[in-house]
Amino acid sequence: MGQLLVFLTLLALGYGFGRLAESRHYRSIIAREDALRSLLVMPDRMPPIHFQNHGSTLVTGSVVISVDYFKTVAAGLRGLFGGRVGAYESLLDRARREAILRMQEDARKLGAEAVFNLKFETSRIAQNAGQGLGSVEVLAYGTALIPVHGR
Amino acid sequence: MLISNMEVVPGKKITTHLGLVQGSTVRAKHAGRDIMAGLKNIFGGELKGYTELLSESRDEALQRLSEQARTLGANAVINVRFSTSSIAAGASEIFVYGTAVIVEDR
Amino acid sequence: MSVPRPRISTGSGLPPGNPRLPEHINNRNEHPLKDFLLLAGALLALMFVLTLLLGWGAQWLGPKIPYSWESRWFAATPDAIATALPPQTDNGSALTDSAKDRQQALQQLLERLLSQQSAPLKVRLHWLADEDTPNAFATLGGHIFVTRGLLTQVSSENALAMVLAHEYAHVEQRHPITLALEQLAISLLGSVIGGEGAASLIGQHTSLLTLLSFSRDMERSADQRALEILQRHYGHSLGADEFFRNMLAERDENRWALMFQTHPLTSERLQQISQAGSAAASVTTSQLTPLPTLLQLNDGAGSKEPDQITQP
Repeated sequence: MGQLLVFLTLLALGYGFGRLAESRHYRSIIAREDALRSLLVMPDRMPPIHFQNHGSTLVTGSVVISVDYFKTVAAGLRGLFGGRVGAYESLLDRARREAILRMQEDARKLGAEAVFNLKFETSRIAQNAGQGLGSVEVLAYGTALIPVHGR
Repeated sequence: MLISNMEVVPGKKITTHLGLVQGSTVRAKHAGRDIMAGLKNIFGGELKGYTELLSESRDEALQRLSEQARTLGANAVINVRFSTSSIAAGASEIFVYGTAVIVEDR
Repeated sequence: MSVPRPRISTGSGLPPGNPRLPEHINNRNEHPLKDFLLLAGALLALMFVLTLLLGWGAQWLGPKIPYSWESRWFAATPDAIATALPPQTDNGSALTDSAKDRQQALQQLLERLLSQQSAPLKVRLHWLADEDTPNAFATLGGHIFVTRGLLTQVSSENALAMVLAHEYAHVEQRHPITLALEQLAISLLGSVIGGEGAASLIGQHTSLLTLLSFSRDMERSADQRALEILQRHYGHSLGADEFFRNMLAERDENRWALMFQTHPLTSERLQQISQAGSAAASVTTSQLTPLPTLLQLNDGAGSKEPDQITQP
């Protein structure tokens, strides 16, 4: 009985705080995306001719996001029945957009106009998580194109 | 929606680049399939259940990618890349991203 | 935030900025709680149905396992029980001697009870000299345990016989092995569904309760069978209700709370036994058999000669 109570408490805490953190994170992501909208991010390998005289350098952005208890349990249940694991989808969506944002911030510091050849790397950091998803790291990287002045 | 992993579309001209579009999905198979897969690991052979799972996921990810591209008014996505990551035991994420563009006939 | 405006000409085919995309495409987790409750409900329902099915399976399979196998598998049960109970306070070898004698007397009593039965099962009785809680229980492998406390509660051989016959009936109807199978099946189910955590959780809870968790139906049918045995041996089932009557009178809620959870309510049982006893109202001590001296621990009981055993 005690264990069930602990479980339900953790579940409720996970749900409450997880939802709160998620909606706060989404608000921040949307606000920053708006602010950085003019800094182009493209997966194209070759930049258009316009950028032929720009300097270039690698920029990266990475983030590690952890699941909450509710998501772990919900995903575990999903794993029994099969189907789309909604709990993890929002997690990865957030992680990926946050990684792009950090890469853009990195590029902005260098005065870049655009980032080309964007690529992603996703890895699971499963310390003590057993079969579930502990936390997930997303790395976004690309080449920043920086206008060279005085040419 | 034209989807390609090339930078150019043969016979067409890319008039406008619209930007990054992405599609991702996490899916799991039910526990029965996981058990069968565990048995299959003893004897070897194709894991039909998982092949099916991954191709379903890929279809859905592509569908989401197209949906994003469509909201931008694109008619093609070029330079498409897939990335698969195992998120948890029995669940995997398919992520696909590319550049939404408008192409015109030459 | 000062983002440099890109000097990208509109003719280059590049957009003025990153596109604004709708939120719901890659994140459709709109009602996580609803989804969760639905799945949790489905899982509980599934567990319930599977448990029921496994329970039926165990009830079918339990009695089919040969009794000789069960005895062989669980030959070590008494040792396990002895270690599980609080250490015996050893008051010298005299006590252990009398304990041995009492155990033998109980064994003989049960054998007398069963002498008229065709092909009785071989069960072993164990005497728990230091347990003051009135109790008797049957476990895997045909072992019946009787506590010292029980003997302080009974005043006639008939009452003690009722308890012994009741426990014997559990063994005969294969209730312990049925329960063991049920628990095995449930913990297997738990390990498949919930991983190691759930299995160990279930294991912890069930292993302790093995002794107590006979279902009401099992208790009822054991009572029925015990009354038959008594009827056969004594020619009546008078005195059978005595132990339960005492229990009701001295009912100490704390001590009996656990017992009552699985044993059908004592008054209910009493009623059943009274109905079975042909003339419950006219119970007189003359119709009851006194306890053998060795087993007389109840003050003021058994004033008769111990060796008078009425044969019907």
